[in-house]
Amino acid sequence: MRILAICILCVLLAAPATSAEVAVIAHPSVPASEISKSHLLDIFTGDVKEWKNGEPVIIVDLKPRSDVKEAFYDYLGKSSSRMKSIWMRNMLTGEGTPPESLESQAEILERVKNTPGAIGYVNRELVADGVITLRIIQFGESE
Amino acid sequence: MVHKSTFPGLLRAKTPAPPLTPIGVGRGPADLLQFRSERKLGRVFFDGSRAVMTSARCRVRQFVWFLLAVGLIPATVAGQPGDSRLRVFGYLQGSFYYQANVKNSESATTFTTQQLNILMQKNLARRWRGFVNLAFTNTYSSYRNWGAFSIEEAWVGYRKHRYLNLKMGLLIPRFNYLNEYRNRMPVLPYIIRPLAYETSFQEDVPIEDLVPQRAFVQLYGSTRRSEFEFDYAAYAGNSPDVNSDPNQGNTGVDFKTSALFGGRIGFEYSLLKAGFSATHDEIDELSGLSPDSLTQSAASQFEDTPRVRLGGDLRIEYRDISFRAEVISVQYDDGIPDVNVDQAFWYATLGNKFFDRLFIFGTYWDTGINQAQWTEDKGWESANVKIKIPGVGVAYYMHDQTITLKAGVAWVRIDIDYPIPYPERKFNHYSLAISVMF
Repeated sequence: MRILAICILCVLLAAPATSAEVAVIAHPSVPASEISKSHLLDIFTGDVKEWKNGEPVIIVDLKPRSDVKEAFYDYLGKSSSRMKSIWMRNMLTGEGTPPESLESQAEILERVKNTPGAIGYVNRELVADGVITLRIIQFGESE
Repeated sequence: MVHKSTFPGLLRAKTPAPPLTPIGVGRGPADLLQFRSERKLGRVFFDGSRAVMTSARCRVRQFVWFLLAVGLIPATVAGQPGDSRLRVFGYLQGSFYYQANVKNSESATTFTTQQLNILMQKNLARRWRGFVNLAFTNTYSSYRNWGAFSIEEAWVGYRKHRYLNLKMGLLIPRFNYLNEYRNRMPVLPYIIRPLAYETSFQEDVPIEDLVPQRAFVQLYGSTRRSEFEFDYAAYAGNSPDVNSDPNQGNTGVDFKTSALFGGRIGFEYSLLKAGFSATHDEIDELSGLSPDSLTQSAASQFEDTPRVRLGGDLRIEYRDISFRAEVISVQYDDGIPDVNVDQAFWYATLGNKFFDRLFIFGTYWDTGINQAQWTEDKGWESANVKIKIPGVGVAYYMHDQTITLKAGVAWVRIDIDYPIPYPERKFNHYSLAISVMF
């Protein structure tokens, strides 16, 4: 029985720590305390390139596929591959630059924390001091 | 009388084309194809100083530096004073075609570097940026007289806000959905694009008549209310009668007083995106293309003929399924009852994406080109060329979509309605391609 309990505990600990929520985070210089879905979509599609104070928007994206990434883009109503196509289209027409893609959520957190005007998304459990949270998205949330 | 093959190259027929001058073919500067690349989305960065320059003087200086950088100095020169980065990237598409004769056509195979584009972009100041797009098509070689080279775009952009943007300089104007992206091969699943946009067939199909190829100033923008997005573009450029005769000097200059005016309005709501486009310009085309076949009085009837292009585009996306369609109508107000040189084109593509990597689609293109010609003995004669092409294709995206493998099959049928019976032509077109961003 004890062995079974230890096995179950090991499995639980080994499983990726998944939260049911994604946090949209930004550098504290960003002049907003929350963000709407449409504004978020405008930012990530490159239609909006500046914050209200004129500071350039710096988008930080997660490179590997993950539940967090899929949940975030599902919420925006675009698949991650569709977003990639939009960024490529913007780049090839001279309209914009694709966002920087980082390998991990920890890197995103660090980059957003240290880059004025930056915005990104991470698992809510990872949110730490030094960034502001603009929106919480439930997994599977589309509105 | 001018004898010009209507569809040379891969579309060449065994029998000569009817002795009609295809109106709109071969006019103006050649156009091209493009590719671009990037590393991780294709970029090579050249760091420069990050000093912020806000004065007008500094902007001018930045622009001069930009021109020097993109025009005179190899792109490997590191960043310029006051600039962030000069980005140099591009793309190419290499292709293999096999054309199988079915009826009155030819069989052929060819490898080709269908398109190579070098792009350069630089942020000149907070709201200003420059963009250059150099295009090489059909295995370009000046030494061998292959293909073509063209400066497709060279503009400076100013962005006030999402709803107010301005491009100044040589640019590809918005017309329907595809025109602005027609040469961005990495974002298109096609090997051979819908014919009105297929620049590698520009000697065969009057693409310069069907869609506007270039403009010189464009105002555009968009706005969103919840899920509803509205966008617009308005532009101006030269009339199509640009001088390409070196004997007259000043080639590339439009000596007409008329100009091209056009625009597009569009909206997006939920799964639906649609738009309406229009252009207006004036054209001397027929007199310029077949002077031997026309009396002076007949030719003069076509001077300053108003031309109107109308276009509509539609896109519906539901999950991984997408549907795109466009229609184009080109109308000439020549005022001559016996002459109809109008043109029309439409296409529709239905596709589905699998596993975020594989896109499979079916498509249908329909092109109708009316032609007319004056001869002393017969007066006005007209012909109608119809090109119908159903096809299927597949695109497989790799490495963050920087590499795309493509394959396609098209069943081409060309019908020519001419006073003298002319045989129908049919052939099948099989193609493979790799599209790469660097």
